[in-house]
Formats: sequence, structure tokens, C-alpha cells
Amino acid sequence: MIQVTAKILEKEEVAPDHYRLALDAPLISKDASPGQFIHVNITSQYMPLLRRPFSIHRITPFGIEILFRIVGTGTKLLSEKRQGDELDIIGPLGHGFSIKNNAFTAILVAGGVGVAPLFALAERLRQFTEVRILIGSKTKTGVICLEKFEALGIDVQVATDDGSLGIKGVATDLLEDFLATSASPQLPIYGCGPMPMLRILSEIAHLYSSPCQISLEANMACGVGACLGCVAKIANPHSPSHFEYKRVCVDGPVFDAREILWR
Amino acid sequence: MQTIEPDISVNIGKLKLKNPVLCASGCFGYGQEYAELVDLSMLGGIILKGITLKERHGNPMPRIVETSAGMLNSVGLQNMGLSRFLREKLPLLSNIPTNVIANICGETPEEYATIAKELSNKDSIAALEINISCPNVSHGGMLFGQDMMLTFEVVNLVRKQTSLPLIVKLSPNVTDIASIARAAVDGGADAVSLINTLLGMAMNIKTKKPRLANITGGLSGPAIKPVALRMVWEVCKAINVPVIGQGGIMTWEDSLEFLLVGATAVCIGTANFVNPKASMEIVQGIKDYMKQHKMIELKAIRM
Ligand SMILES: Cc1cc2nc3c(=O)[nH]c(=O)nc-3n(C[C@H](O)[C@H](O)[C@H](O)COP(=O)(O)OP(=O)(O)OC[C@H]3O[C@@H](n4cnc5c(N)ncnc54)[C@H](O)[C@@H]3O)c2cc1C
Ligand SMILES: Cc1cc2nc3c(=O)[nH]c(=O)nc-3n(C[C@H](O)[C@H](O)[C@H](O)COP(=O)(O)O)c2cc1C
Ligand code: FES
Repeated sequence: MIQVTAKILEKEEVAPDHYRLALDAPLISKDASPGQFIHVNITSQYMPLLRRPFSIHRITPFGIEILFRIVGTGTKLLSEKRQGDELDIIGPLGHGFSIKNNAFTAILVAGGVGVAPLFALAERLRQFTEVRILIGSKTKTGVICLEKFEALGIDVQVATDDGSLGIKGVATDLLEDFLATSASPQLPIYGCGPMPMLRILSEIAHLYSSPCQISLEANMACGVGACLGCVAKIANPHSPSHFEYKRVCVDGPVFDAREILWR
Repeated sequence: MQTIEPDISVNIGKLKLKNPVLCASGCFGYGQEYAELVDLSMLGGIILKGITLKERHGNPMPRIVETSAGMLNSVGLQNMGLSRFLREKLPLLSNIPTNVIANICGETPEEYATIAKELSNKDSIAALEINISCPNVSHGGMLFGQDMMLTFEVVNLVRKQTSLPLIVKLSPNVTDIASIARAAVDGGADAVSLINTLLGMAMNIKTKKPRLANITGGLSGPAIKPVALRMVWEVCKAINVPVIGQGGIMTWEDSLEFLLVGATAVCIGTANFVNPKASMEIVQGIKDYMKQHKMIELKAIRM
């Protein structure tokens, strides 16, 4: 983990309100692994005050890329940065996906901008296994990175709430269909997206006894495990109350789906 | 002409700090979390996350929301409790190349005393900060810091258990902070630190629900600096022991404001989240300012 000033090498509007930034940060990329994130200081003013976390979307020898959606003040300001501008970032942070080299097809499930970390993961997994990604979004314009996954030779399926692209439904519908018809059992699943989606994903994975890793989100302050602001409720049989709050920023953001207590 | 390196060391009771900059409790973990980003040896000291007698899970999520130039937190003193702290964290503290101050919180005066006793005579703990000001717990915490008699009682009981320098952390959520500060000094405090967070709240206008699961939380960051400064000024006038000022300090200029109204040292809290190097930059900023104005002692700042 280091704090560096990284130049924006490329900026691309990948879809309405969705941007990709390539950052010159070789010292971060050399240690980065899929599922980790960076903590970005968007402005030196006090509004917004805190850094904003973004998953590492791509890891290259020159640096890293992030992919984000505008949801509020911070992401709006970030979208107004230009190529050549500099960003104060800390990374790589957190505990990413654990990647096991086995022969099974890996199934990636993304909700909306949840595709962001899954692209770095796909690039890594692709080196030794078959990868399939199921992308869900409200509507066609929110389905991002489709061509990029296809260019990697990855099988992509899409679901949209309004049926404007792919099937009408959600990404977890695609997953259920796939698992129900698949001959091979216990395919490893990797998910990122909104909490309600991840919850359903975990239930499906449990049903099919598939190992499932999911990347959680939480409001963060420090990003390094110091403030305890970003916790998730995790099962702990050794605790009298059978749970503990673990920090999403260091113990996660990627957790084994079985560990998470959803209520 | 050779420039003389200014002496910026300060004393908090019998504890000598190489400079007046500390990292605040709850904002710097146990030091290790920031070790890759911050040269800890440059700091005057660090204050650990609050320790309670028993393990505390803390409050449900969301625990943090950002507000105008500040943040609300309702962490609720999540910590592993005294016995696990002694087993798991204490041994790591000897690697920290600066003064380590433990922050303690109890539900009863006796709990404070028990924790204080256990943490005394530990080589790696240089002082105790008694937290009578945590706004996010339902028993103890801030309730003690809102009452002169209880403040006196807690401090007095702890004083009898330890010879470590005692810092009492005061709550801003009171009508007359100077009188609480006096009660702390009467009870045996070697120093006071203030302010802890201001009780606050934020609503989500879409869901019409509070933005924190705990409904209320403690406000910190630049938004609280003027309130903090006013209270530090009031307390400095009222007592004769060192005052550690904090609340919204982001830069060395902010820290000078606190030193100017009489604070002996400052704590850096929320600023660490924004810029982990803030505390180091503040130490350097104070030194540079003194060199530029040809000051050789910290107290010259006030003249
Ligand atoms: C580990 C991690 C990785 C992330 N990776 C990505 C990514 O790759 N791409 C991306 O677009 N976003 C990502 N996010 C979410 C991103 O951090 C938030 O969208 C961003 O912080 C919002 O900032 P803002 O100032 O624009 O919005 P704010 O004004 O702070 O908030 C606007 C709205 O967004 C919600 N929000 C704020 N922070 C978060 C959050 N952390 N998670 C969920 N909702 C939030 C708020 O509740 C509010 O409704 C990630 C979050 C985490 C914790
Ligand atoms: C996330 C968070 C956790 C905190 N935890 C503690 C704590 O455990 N004990 C304590 O005495 N103060 C705690 N504080 C208060 C800080 O130490 C500090 O007094 C306060 O935040 C004001 O300073 P600042 O504006 O520079 O952050 C906490 C503050 C924050 C933001
Ligand atoms: S954001 Fe501070 S502990 Fe995770």
C-alpha cells in the first residue's frame, strides 16, 4: 500500500454517466490483484471531504484503471477531471479475490457498475480457465464492458430490468438458468453489485453448493482498517453472539459468501 | 548564517513528546494500520482506539456518513476488549517508534479503574487518555463527561490506580466545558484533551430515514473547528494543566490556531482519513513556521 500522485493517462466516457480512467501508477499496479481497490482523494477542498473507494478495473504494467458511475458529488467531480490531471490515490487496498487454479469454468456475476472489478478478475482467470460473465443492468445503456469481455473470448450474457438488451430480468436469473442446466457441479462464482443482488447470489450459490466470493461495498473513511466505519456482519461461531463486524476495507471487500450474515 | 533547529518538544505531565502532534483516538487504529503510509517516528505520539473492559461489537451499518466539510460516525466503540488487547495488540506496540497513549472507556467508574490498573506498568504504554466523552455508547462514555461530580469521581478513582500521566478527554456536548475541565483537574488529571465529537444527525430525504443506523453520531472534521477552538480557549483560561486541542485540524495553520489560544499539543483525527500524511506535514509546517520567524521554542508562537 502506498500513497502516490497519479496522472490520468486516459479518460473515456464508456456509457452515459459511466467513466473509465487509466492512471499512471506502476508502483500500485505491481502489487495489485483483482478485487482490490484504491482510495481516491477527489479534491483538496473540504467538499467532499473523504476519499472515495474504487475497485481496480484493470491492472497493467503502467498502472491501473478504474471504472465508475456518477452517483453523487464526488463521482461527479471525478468525472470532470481531464487527461493529464493528477489524483492523490492510496492503493492497492483490501483483500481481493482468491484465485484457485482449477479446471472449472468460472462464473462472474455483475450488477451494474459491479463489472468494474470483474474485468481485472476475468483477465487473470482467462489465463488458465474458461470464464463466463452474466451482466445485469436496469437498461441497455448501463450494460458496460460487453465488447471488452467478448474481445477476451469470454462468453457474455445480459439481463436488463426492461428487456432492452438480453433477457428481461436480473443477472441472478441468468445464473439460476445456467446452473440448472449445467452438467458440471459446484462451479466457482464471483460476484459484485448491489447488496440485494449479492444476497440472492449467495442463496443460489448455497443451493448449488458452489464456492462463491462476493465484493461488498460500504461507506468508508480511512480505507486502511483504522476507523471501523466500514464493517460487514460476519458469522463467527467462536463469539458468544455468533457474529462479529469485520472491516470491508481490509478483511474484504471480497468475502466468502457463506460468511456473511445478511440480517 | 546557520539556522537553529527549533525545539518543539512539549511535556504532558511527566511525559515528554518530541513534538506537539498526536494522532487522535479512533482515527489511527493501533498505529500499525498506517505504518506503510506514515513515518510514525515523526509523530509526537499516537492515541489508540478506545479500549473497554469487555469486547464490543459496535453499532450496525451505516456507521459513517459524510456531511458538509465533516463526517458523522457511530462506530460505537467497537473493540476487542481489555484481555484480547493485552494478548493481541500490546505486544505489537513495542515496534511503534513513538509514544503510545491508550484511550480507555468504561460503563462504570470501577471499569475505568480496572482498565487503568491493567494498563499501568506496561512498557509500551506511555500515558492514559480517559474517554468520558464517547457519544456512541448507551452506558457510560459521554454521560460521565457531562457531569462535574461523575467526572471527578472517574478521574479520582483512576488516579489511585496508576502513576501514568492521565489525560482526560472532554465532551463538547455540555453547557460549561470549563467547569468539567476543572473537575477533571481536581480529580487528578495531568492534562485534558478536547473536543471529542459533537453529537449530530443527518436525514436521507429520499427514504425519509436517518442516514446512520444508530440515528445519531459524532461530528468531526473541519466543520467543527471553530467550536473546538472556542472551547479549547475557554478551557485554557480555566485550568493550569496542559490542554491537548483537537477538532477539525487539517493543516499546520489550523494547529497553530489551537496553539495560539493556549493548547500545549494538538491531535489529528479525521484529517488522517483524508491525507494520512497530514500529521507529518503538520509537524514539518510548525517547524518551518518557527524557523521562518526565528523562533527557537514552541511557546514563542504565542508571543
Ligand atoms: C471497495 C469499494 C469499491 C468500489 N468500487 C466502485 C467502482 O469500481 N465503481 C463505482 O462506480 N463505484 C464503486 N464504489 C462505490 C463508490 O465508492 C461510491 O459510488 C462513491 O463513493 C460515491 O461517492 P459520491 O460522492 O459520488 O456519492 P455520495 O454523494 O457520497 O453519495 C451518493 C449516493 O451514493 C451512495 N453511496 C456513497 N458511497 C457509497 C458506497 N461506498 N457504496 C455504495 N453506495 C454509496 C450514497 O448512499 C448516496 O445515496 C466502490 C465502493 C467500495 C466500498
Ligand atoms: C471514526 C471515529 C472514531 C473515534 N473513536 C474515538 C474513540 O474510540 N475514543 C475517543 O476518545 N475518541 C474517538 N473519536 C474522536 C476523535 O479522537 C477526535 O476527538 C474527534 O474526531 C475530533 O477531532 P477531528 O475533527 O480532528 O477528527 C473518534 C472519531 C472518529 C471520527
Ligand atoms: S474504512 Fe476505516 S476501517 Fe474500513
